Amino acid sequence: MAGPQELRLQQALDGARKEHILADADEWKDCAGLLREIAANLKHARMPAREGELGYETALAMHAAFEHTAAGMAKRADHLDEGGQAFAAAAVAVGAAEQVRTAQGAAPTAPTSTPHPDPGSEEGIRAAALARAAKRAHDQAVADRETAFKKAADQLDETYLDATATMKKIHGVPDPEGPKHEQPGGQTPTGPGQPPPTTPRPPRPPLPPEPPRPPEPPRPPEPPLPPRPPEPPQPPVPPTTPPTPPPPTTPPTTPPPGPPPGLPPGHDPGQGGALGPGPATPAGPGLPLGTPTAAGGGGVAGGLGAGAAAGAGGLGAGLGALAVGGRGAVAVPGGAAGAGGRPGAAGGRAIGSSSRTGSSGALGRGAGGAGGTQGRGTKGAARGVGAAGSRSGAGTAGAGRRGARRDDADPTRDHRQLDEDWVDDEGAAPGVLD
Amino acid sequence: MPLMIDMLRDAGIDETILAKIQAMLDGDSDRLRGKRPNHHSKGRFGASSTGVDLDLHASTAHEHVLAALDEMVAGLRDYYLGVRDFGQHVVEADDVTTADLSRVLTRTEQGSERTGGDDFHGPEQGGDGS
Repeated sequence: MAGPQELRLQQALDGARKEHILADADEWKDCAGLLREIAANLKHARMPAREGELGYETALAMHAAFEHTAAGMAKRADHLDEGGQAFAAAAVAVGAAEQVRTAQGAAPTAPTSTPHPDPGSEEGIRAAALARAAKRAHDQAVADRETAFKKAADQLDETYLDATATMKKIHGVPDPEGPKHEQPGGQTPTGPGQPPPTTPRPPRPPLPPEPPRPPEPPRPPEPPLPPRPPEPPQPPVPPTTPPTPPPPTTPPTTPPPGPPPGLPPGHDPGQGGALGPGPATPAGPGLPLGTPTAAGGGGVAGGLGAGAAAGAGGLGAGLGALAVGGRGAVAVPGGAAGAGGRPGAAGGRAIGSSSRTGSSGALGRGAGGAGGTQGRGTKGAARGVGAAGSRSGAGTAGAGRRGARRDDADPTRDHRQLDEDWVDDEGAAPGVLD
Repeated sequence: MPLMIDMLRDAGIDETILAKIQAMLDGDSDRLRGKRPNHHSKGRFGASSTGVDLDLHASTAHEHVLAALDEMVAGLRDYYLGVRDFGQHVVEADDVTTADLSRVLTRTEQGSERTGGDDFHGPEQGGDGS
């Protein structure tokens, strides 16, 4: 039975053809040699023109162009040589791996032994010892095979990785960003221990499963609320007549009527917007005016929540749009930059660019980047809404406590009871408004 | 008289030189067109993840190389036409105007544009630069 490393090497060699790889190596090297030859011809070409004669300046311009082309061709020939060497190394690695697979041959069969009818006898003991020795030898042989296969597979992977780096340097197309997706058909990534595919051609690139996304960083602590604007003057409250005291036999137990504790005199919970920054519109998340909340003062909370939500949403969307514009600017082909150093260059490689196939990657990269940026902008807006909501809750709780402190002067009140009445533990925050 | 002989001799030499350059450019562009590498190794790197990855990037590199070679062939052709025009309007012509020489320069610039660059990157990667 084949071990995991043997299976791994089998899969790596499935469909590999070192002759084809070597053919590419040879062609790239030949092409490099021809480029060098043409470069030398161009460098030595001299137009028949003499100084002072007609066409001399034109001839000089042509010489400069020939030399520039020759220099570029020589460097491209170097790149082709590197690519050819990468192909050659890959072909050698494939050949070496195939040799290992051939040399190892078929997997050794596990020794079989039947228990001796008389295990205690001398023959039985000898048979058991032989069986153990055979098993050890088999296990060692299997381990040696696995070691050899692993070494060959590792060497092949390493050579392929080097060759890939060379090819990336040659074509210059950056790796696409973003999460990788599975190929159609739901092919799972291959690895040691998995049976090799039976199809003659290698399957589509199997990609590793997407790594778990890291947990979102904890929210930063909420910033302190800005100082509340001064409260506008409240309309005067008509004086209330004290109730007629009950008969002296029963002492008064109810507090005198007036504004509920925790609110300034004359403030009506139904009124809203007086303390909020500007008009409070129920745009999106946020409480509408006058909606009572558990903490009380619903109109105030609604005003703060809706106004802050609208502001945070606009800021987040604006940041997202700004970032999208920046990404789009980077993705524009730098044709002018490419034409900068050449004599007499008209600017840009407009003629050649249409035949290149790498442009879709850059365009895709730009679109992908824009989408991600927009996502970040939206997330920021959502966070602003949530913060505004929690801030409004904290503000309301603070207002409750402030109202309780104002009653400290009244010695008849039980402060503990006031706090229990007015402080809502849910969403209560420290008194940041003091 | 000696001046006329010199002029005739020079014209003949110049024409020979021009013919040589033209032949060189024409021949080199044909040779380069014939040397476009085939992609024999496509799908021949095995079924491992590294093999598939190498196959992908080798294919991309191959495409870029072919595109650059096609451009270089076209650029050498532009040079050839520029040298031809130079011969017609400078060496052989009796009267040359500026417009004729600008045509030579235009072809030369075009040829330089197509054959310029020292890598195989596409224009979206800022290619054909240093």
